Amino acid sequence: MKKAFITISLLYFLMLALIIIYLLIQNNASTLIKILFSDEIRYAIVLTLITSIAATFLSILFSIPVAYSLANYSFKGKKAVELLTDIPLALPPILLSFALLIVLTKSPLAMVFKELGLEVIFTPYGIIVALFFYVTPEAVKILYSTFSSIDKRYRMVLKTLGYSDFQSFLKADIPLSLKGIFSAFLVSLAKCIGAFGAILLVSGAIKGKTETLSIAIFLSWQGGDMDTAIAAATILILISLTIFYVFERLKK
Amino acid sequence: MIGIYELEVRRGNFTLRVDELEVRSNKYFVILGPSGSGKTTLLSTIAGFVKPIRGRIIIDGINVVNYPPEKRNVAYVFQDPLLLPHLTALENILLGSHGDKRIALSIARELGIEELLNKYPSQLSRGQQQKVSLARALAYNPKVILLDEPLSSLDRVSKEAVIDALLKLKGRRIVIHVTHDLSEAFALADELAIIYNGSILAKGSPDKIMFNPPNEKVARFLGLTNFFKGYAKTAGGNKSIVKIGENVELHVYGKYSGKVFVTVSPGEIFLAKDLDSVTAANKFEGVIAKIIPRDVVDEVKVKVNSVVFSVYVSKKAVRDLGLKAGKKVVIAFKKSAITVNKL
Repeated sequence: MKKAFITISLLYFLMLALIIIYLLIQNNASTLIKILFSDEIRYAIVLTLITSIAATFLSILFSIPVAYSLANYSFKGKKAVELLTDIPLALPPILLSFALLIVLTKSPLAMVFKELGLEVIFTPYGIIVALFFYVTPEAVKILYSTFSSIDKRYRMVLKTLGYSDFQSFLKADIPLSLKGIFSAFLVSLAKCIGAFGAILLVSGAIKGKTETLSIAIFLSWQGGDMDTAIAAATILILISLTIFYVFERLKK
Repeated sequence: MIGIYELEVRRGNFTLRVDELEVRSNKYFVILGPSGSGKTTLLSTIAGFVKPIRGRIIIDGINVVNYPPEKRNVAYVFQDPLLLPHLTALENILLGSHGDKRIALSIARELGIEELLNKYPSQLSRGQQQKVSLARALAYNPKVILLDEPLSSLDRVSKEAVIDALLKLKGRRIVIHVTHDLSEAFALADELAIIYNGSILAKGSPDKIMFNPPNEKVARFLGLTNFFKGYAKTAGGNKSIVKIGENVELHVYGKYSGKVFVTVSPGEIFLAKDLDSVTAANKFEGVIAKIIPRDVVDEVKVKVNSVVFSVYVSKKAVRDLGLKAGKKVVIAFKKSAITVNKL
C-alpha cells in the first residue's frame, strides 16, 4: 500500500509540475520581456498588488477582533457569526461577486454611495471590497486557530499585574500570535492575487481600468492574444511562488 | 490583611464555601488540599477570574469582590511559569514593574537571578523560569501574592531552589500558596488551612493542625495513622482514660468525658523488651501485623487486640531486632504523645 500511495503522490506532483512548466515554456523570451514592460501588463501588476495588499490589510485588521472573539468569548449570536464567516468558504466566488454587484447597484447602500459621490462598482475600490469579502473567512479561520492555541493564562497573569484587557491583548496575545497573523496575511494575499471569479462582476473586467493579472489572462485569451495571456500567467506564477516561499520559510 | 467572608462559588456541580478566612499582614498562608478540593477556584476567585455567587473579599479594608483582576492589586503565579517567550527574563520582570528598571533589578538581585536577566525563557531551566515568574509578580509590589501550586512541575533540585526564593517572601507581604503537597506546606506555612471538597476543614498553625487535627478527615488527609475514636472518662486530677478498643485504654492529660477522637504520633511510640521495663503510662503487648518500608524509617503495624498502632522504627532497628510479621512486641508511649479532641 505504501508504495502505491507514494506513487500516486508523485504522479500528482509530476502532473501539476508539468502543467505549469508546459505553460512557462510557451514563453518566448523577447516577447515576454516586451509584454512585461507594456503599459497594460505593468498596470495589471500594480493594480493586482495594490488591491491585493489593501484588501489583505483590511481583512486582517477585521479578522483579528472577529477571530479573537470567537476564540475567547462566549456571546449571544456567536454561532451565527461562526456560520456566517464559514458560509463564504462554501460558496462559489462568482456568487459573492454577483451578490456584491447587486448590493452595490440596487440596494439603499448603492444610493448612499451615489449621494456621497463614491464610485465603487467597476473601479479598483470595487475590487478591494470584493477581495475583502472573498479572503476574510479564510483569514478568520487561520487566526481563530492561532488565538485558540494561545494559553489564556498569559493574559490572566498580565491582568493581575495591573494591565487592562486590551493592554494584555497587545502585550501577550499579539506577540504570541505573530506567526499566525503573518500566515493569515500571506495566505490571504496569495488568494487575492489570484482571485478571478470573486472580482469579475464587481470589477466589470474593464481593460486598463479594472484589469488585474487574472483578468488580463481572461481578457487577452478572449481577444486571442495568447502571448499576453501567457506573460500575465507567468507573472502570477512568479508572485505566487514567492509568497509560497516566504510562507514556507515562516513555517520553519 | 485579607479577609474572605461568606463566600460561595459555583462551577458546574462543584460548590466552594468559605465562611471566614483571614490572613494577617505579612503572613505566608498555605491552603492544602487534594486535587479537585477547590484550592484553585478559591485562588481564582481572590484574583477576580471567577465571580462568586455571594461573599466578600476584603483587602486592606476594601471589598474587591466586584473589582476586575487588574484593580485588585494581587499577583498570581501559576504552576507553569508563563513567561512571555519573546521577552528576556529582565523584560518579563519589567512587565511586573511596569517598566521600572530599578525595581526589576533590585528584585532580581534579591532572588539571586541577576545572571539570568539577558536570557530568554527557552534558555532557562524550569526552576529558573519559575523564579523569574516570581520576580515578575514581586516587581508589581502587590498587596497579596497568590501562588497556585508553584512547585508542582519542578524536579527536586529546582524545587529546593524555588523554596529558597519563596522563603524570602516570608514576613514581607501576604502570600497565599495553594498546594496538595504536605511537605511543601509544612516547610513554608506560617498558617495553614486544609480544604476538602469545597470546604475549609481546619485552619491554624501547622503545628496545631498536625498535632491536633480537629477531625478524622483532616487526620487522614495529613497521613496521620494513629487516630482513633473512643470514649473518655475522667480519672482524677488533670487526667482521663480513653477506651479505644477492647482492653485498650489510653491514659491522657486533660479532663474529658464522652465521645472523643484521639491521635498518637507514630514517631513517639517506642518498642520495649517487656512491660515491666517501661515507665510510660501507656504500654501494651501486641503482635506485628506487617512492616511497610518507607523512605527513612519503616512503619511497623502492631496489633493490640482489635486496635492497630503504627510505629515508626529505623530500618537498622528493624534489622537488629529481627522484627517481622507475627512477632510479639511491647509498644509504649507517654501521655504527652496523645492529643484528644471532643467529637
